[in-house]
Amino acid sequence: MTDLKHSSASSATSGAGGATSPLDAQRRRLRLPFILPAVIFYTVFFVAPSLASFVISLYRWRGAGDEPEWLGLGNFLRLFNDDIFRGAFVNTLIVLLVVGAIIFALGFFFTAFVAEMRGKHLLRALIFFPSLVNPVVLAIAWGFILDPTRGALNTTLEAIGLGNLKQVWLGPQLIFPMILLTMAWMTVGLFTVILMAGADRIPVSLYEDCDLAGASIGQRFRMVTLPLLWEVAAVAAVLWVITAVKAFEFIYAFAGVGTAPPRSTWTASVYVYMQGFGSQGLPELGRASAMSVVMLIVVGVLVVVLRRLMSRQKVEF
Amino acid sequence: MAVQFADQRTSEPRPRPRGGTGRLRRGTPAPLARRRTPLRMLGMAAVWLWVLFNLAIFVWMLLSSLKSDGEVFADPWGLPNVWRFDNYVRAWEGSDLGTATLNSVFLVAAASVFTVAIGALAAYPLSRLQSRSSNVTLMYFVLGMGVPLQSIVVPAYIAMAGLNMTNTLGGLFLLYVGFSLPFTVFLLTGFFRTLPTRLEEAAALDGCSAFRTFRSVMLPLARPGIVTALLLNVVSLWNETLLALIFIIDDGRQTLALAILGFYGTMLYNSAWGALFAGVCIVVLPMLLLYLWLGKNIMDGMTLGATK
Amino acid sequence: MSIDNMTDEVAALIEPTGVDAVSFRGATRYYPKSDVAALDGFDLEVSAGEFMVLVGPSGSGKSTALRMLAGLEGVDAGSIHIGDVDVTHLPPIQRDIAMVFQDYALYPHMTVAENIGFHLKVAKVSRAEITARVNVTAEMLGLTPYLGRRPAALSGGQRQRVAMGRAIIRRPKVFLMDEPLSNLDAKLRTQTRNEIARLQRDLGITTIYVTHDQVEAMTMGDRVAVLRDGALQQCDRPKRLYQRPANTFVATFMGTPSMALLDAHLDGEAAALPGHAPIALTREQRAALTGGHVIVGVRPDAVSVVPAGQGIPGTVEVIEELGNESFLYVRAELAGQSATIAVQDRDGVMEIAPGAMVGLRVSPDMVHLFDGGTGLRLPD
Ligand SMILES: Nc1ncnc2c1ncn2[C@@H]1O[C@H](COP(=O)(O)OP(=O)(O)O)[C@@H](O)[C@H]1O
Ligand SMILES: [Mg+2]
Repeated sequence: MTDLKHSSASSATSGAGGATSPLDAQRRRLRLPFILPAVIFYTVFFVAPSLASFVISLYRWRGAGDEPEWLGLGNFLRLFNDDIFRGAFVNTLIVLLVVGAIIFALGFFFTAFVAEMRGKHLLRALIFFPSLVNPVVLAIAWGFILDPTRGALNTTLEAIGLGNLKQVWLGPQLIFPMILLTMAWMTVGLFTVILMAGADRIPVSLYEDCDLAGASIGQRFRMVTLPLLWEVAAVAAVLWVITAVKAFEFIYAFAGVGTAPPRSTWTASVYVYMQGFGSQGLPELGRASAMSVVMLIVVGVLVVVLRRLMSRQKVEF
Repeated sequence: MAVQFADQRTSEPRPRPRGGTGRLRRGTPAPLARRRTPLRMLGMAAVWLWVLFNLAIFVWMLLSSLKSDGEVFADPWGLPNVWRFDNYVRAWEGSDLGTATLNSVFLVAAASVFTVAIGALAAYPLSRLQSRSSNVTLMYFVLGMGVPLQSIVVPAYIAMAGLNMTNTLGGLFLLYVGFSLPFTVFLLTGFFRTLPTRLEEAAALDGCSAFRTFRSVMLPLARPGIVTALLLNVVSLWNETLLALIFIIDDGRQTLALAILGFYGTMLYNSAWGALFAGVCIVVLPMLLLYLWLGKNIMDGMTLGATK
Repeated sequence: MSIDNMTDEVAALIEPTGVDAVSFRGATRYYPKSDVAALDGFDLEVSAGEFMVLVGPSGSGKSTALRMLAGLEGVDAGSIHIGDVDVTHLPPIQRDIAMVFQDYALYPHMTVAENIGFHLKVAKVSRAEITARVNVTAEMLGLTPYLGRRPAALSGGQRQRVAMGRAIIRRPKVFLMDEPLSNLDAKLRTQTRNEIARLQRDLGITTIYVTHDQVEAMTMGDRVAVLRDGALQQCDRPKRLYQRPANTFVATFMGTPSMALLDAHLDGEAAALPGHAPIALTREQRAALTGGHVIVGVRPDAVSVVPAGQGIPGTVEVIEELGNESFLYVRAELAGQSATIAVQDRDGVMEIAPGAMVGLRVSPDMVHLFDGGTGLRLPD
């Protein structure tokens, strides 16, 4: 008969509750040995080098045998007066924005239509597949297609009587736009499938309600899919920023067939590679690191800005 | 003795269509769905066009790998006159793609398995303990996903040079593990979180130690997640080029991506187009087979992070 | 199903190795970031071999108590003992406890046989013995045909049996069950309820059984402990709990339809109920009162219907026809308060329709009296 009883022993510990259960105590003993291997490998082989690039960016260093020379922020100051750097930086932003715009536009477009089509799983799989292929290979394929003299595009245009549309696709004027288009082609699959996976989670009942209300496909998309996909799109946008800044293989292979890629096509990642490891002249390890530091900061800022811009009241469904 | 349960699912006879001598049509769309407006038709046509284009590119790659060198350019859209399966032999032997393929297979397998093994070990407690320190640790891994790979190449190169590990597959292995861990830990932590804690409690009462619980109960349950993590690592490492390009100089230690890049470079001089495409197909086909076999896992895994 | 018709040899495989008493001594649990105790100074003695039921509304701390005993939840104050051993800080396995979870917690990747035998396997029992014990247990629970199946391929009732089997096979000192029947349909629940009670008697294992269903509590337990908001209200044999509820909470929680509580005030030596003859209080009862208010608890069998104009006036709201008996729910208006009083229609002959005006008469010797201030029962 302990009605409304409050034992004095318990009120003493009030608020300081949550004693570890014997089960948790047992588990906790394993925490360190479980987590440590991953933390060590990750720290030593990824985090430490990332941080070291900050240090190296403060030196002039021309590779093995050279004595590093302290420059302070000199590399960064030099960078901004360096046309090649500015070009690479701007190119990276162009990739980010132009390719980004294309893939999200196409991604939403596919998401709106494929959901309504028969065989949507097959369609989805086929849209996605290029994401699994080595960008080097895709660059080679596009190189063959766009080859000005013998490439499939120009010969086909000629064959179907559209010879006047022939272009020197890989010439200095068009090569960068071509990189943008082909990059969009190869990346759109992944982002489409992400958006589609988000759309899959929207309850069917909402669409049935649209059907009852007689909404058109455009209205359905605008009024149900898009708002409920916002969250997923925001994460996808962050993912795109990271992907875009990282992109290297495709541009390198696309533009530099056996030679160095022309400067007009350099992006930040190509710049880092060329400065640090490209075969012409001595490596500029400090400057390459400065570039990677700048890009790391750009990614950080963009991710924060994107999250701000796109954060809205979380929709629960 | 056992109690017999009445089957809950009543099997009412299906209503037959009136006048029903004909076959029952299944899956008749609701009258409201699938109205064929012009906009809708246009959109669907565009989707099909895109998909067919993708398909065409890959068919073209495959066919080109079976053509003579001249045909690759002369007749891009036709079937090969003579099916040149020897292109594959040329690529495999003539330009060391064989060695490179074996290098890639071993490197990718070792790095993926190792990454997933230590990633799963870490992900399990991280998914379970809600302490500040484990949240911080998880965050520490997640941040790594945002670091562009080019940020680590210079220091990593210098460090590996100091250890005499440039130009070795072992060095590449270590870096691969390092940069694959963030996503792996992130993915698997999310996956372990979906597993019921109730089962761990049951296991504890059944006498399992924490490690036994992990091995006998959680790991088997996490199998789909583990498989997905393995697949994603295999795909990403199979296609990794930047680090290989920087670290490997020796032809004998090339990975496949590197070999095909080199092959492409020399193509300008020796015009072995058919063999080049055979090489391209050697890069693509394993991914294609993996995709045909476990495509759903791959797609689910790649979209998981964004849609959770 | 029963142990009686097994050979001694077979029975030995499943009989418990020893039974022990369980005691909670001031056991207290605060969940992290919570200022409210989920279990507050909980004292309970369960004797060896006893079937104890913990009952209470959802959120009253029943599962918390069980999980603390199992070692799945920490103990913030007080202690827990099994036999002579203080197990407060022992890891789960050293407590020799088996538990049946509400959702059964079967291992989805193991067959029924593997699920049932898992503990033995972990304990490194020989394979031959595992097989033998699994077979006996499965036979006892009627699971033999399903031994090779995975849990996903079983019905709810079968899964429940597997969970039981997994616990029984261990011959534990203590058996814990947390709402093991709540996922079954009504008919199966009644049947399984009786089987569990019989099994417990046959095996004689100390059992603590959690439920929010007072019918289960009343029919299964040797004793029943009633919890509310983490505090023990009363622990007694089911019959006593019904006949002598310790406070108004237990009084209304046990029994359907619920006991109605009417406010009365002390008028001389009796409790005055508006519109009704006063109910006399003994001297002890008057002495126990903390104020001038008395609560009169009325179960359906303590009221009878009289023609309108006599007794307490009321309106029939609902008639609940259960086949063998029926109840009237009468909305009674007593100066300043209105209460719904359930009335048992003993003869089933009342020709009354909802909306009818009736009078109610309370049998003074069948009411329960509680202090108006504390809600505690007044001495009889
Ligand atoms: N893991 C938990 N974290 C925080 N509060 C909890 C947790 N589990 C239970 N509680 C709270 O503790 C109280 C008792 O819960 P519980 O023991 O599960 O009740 P019962 O089993 O009687 O329904 C409830 O108020 C509940 O909200
Ligand atoms: Mg509970």
